[in-house]
Amino acid sequence: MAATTVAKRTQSIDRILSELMSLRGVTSAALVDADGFVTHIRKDFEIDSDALGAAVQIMFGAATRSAQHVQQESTNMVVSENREGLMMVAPLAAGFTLALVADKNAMLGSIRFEVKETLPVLSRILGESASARG
Amino acid sequence: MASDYDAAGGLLVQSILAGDTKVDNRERLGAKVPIQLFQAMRLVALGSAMEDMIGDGSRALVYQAGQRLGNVLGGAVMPQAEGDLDKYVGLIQGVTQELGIGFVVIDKVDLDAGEINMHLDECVSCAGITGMSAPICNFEAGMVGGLIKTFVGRSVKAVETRCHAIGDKTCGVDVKIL
Repeated sequence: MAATTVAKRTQSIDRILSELMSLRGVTSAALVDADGFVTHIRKDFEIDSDALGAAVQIMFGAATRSAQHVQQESTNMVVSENREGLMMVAPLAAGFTLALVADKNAMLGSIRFEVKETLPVLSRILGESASARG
Repeated sequence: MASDYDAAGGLLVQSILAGDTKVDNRERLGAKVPIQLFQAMRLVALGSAMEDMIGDGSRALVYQAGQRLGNVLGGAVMPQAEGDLDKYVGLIQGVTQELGIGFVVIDKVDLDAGEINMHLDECVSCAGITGMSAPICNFEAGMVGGLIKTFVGRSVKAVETRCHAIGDKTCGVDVKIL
C-alpha cells in the first residue's frame, strides 16, 4: 500500500479517535488489532498499551463466547461499568476492536450513541485497508 | 503486590539462569519432562481450552503470555549483554537451547528500519505437529517480541511468518519495532 494512503488512513483514524475523546468523560480511545496490539491510541493518561490491547481482545472474546453459549449470536458491544468509570469495546472490520475508557463523569448513553455512529466509518476505513493488503 | 504466580515465576527464572539440573521434590523423576507434556500444556491448556473460553481473544492472551516470558528472560540476561545485541542474542540462544525451546537463528537485523527477522529450528511447540492451516506458535512469537522489546526498550510487534505445523522447515518470526 502506498505510504500516502497509509498516512491518510492514519490521519482519518486519529481524527475519529480525537472526536471520541472530546466526549464528556472519555479519557482514552484506541484501536486494537486481532492479535491484541494497539495500533492507534488517543489518551489522557499513561496506559500500558500492550496490556490494554490484550485485555480488550480477551474481554471481547469472552463476551462473544458467553453470548454464543446462550444462543444470542454475535456481540455488538461490551460495556464494563467500574467503580471509577467504564470501558466500552465494540467490534470493527478485519478483526479490529474499538476500545473506549471513560471516567465517572461520562454519560453512557451519549458515548454509546457516538460509538454506534462511528463504527461503520471506522470499519469502512479498516476494511478498505485490509482489501488493499489483499 | 506480587501474586504467587509472580513469585513462583521469579524462582523459576533464578533456577533456569543458575543452570540447575536438580529440582527439589523430583528425586526420582528428575528435572526433564517429555516434549508432549509441554505441547499438551501449550496447545490444549493454552490453546484449544483457552479458545473455547475466550474465542479469538486467545491469540492475544497467548501472545501476551509469551511476551511476558520474553520480558522476564530478557531482563534477566540484559546486565550480562552490556547493551550489545550480538551478546544478548548469544545469551538468549544459550538459554533457549538449554531449555529445549529450540535453536534461535537471526536472519536479518535492521535497527534503522526497525526490523529484526529470525527463525527457531526444532521449535518446542510445533515439533511433530503437521497439517495445520495457520502458524500455531503464537506463544513463541510473543516470547521473541518480549525479548526484543526488553532489549530496545520500545513496543514491538512480532508475527510468526513460517511454521513447521503448516509445512515449513522452521518457525520464522518477523519483528517490527514500533
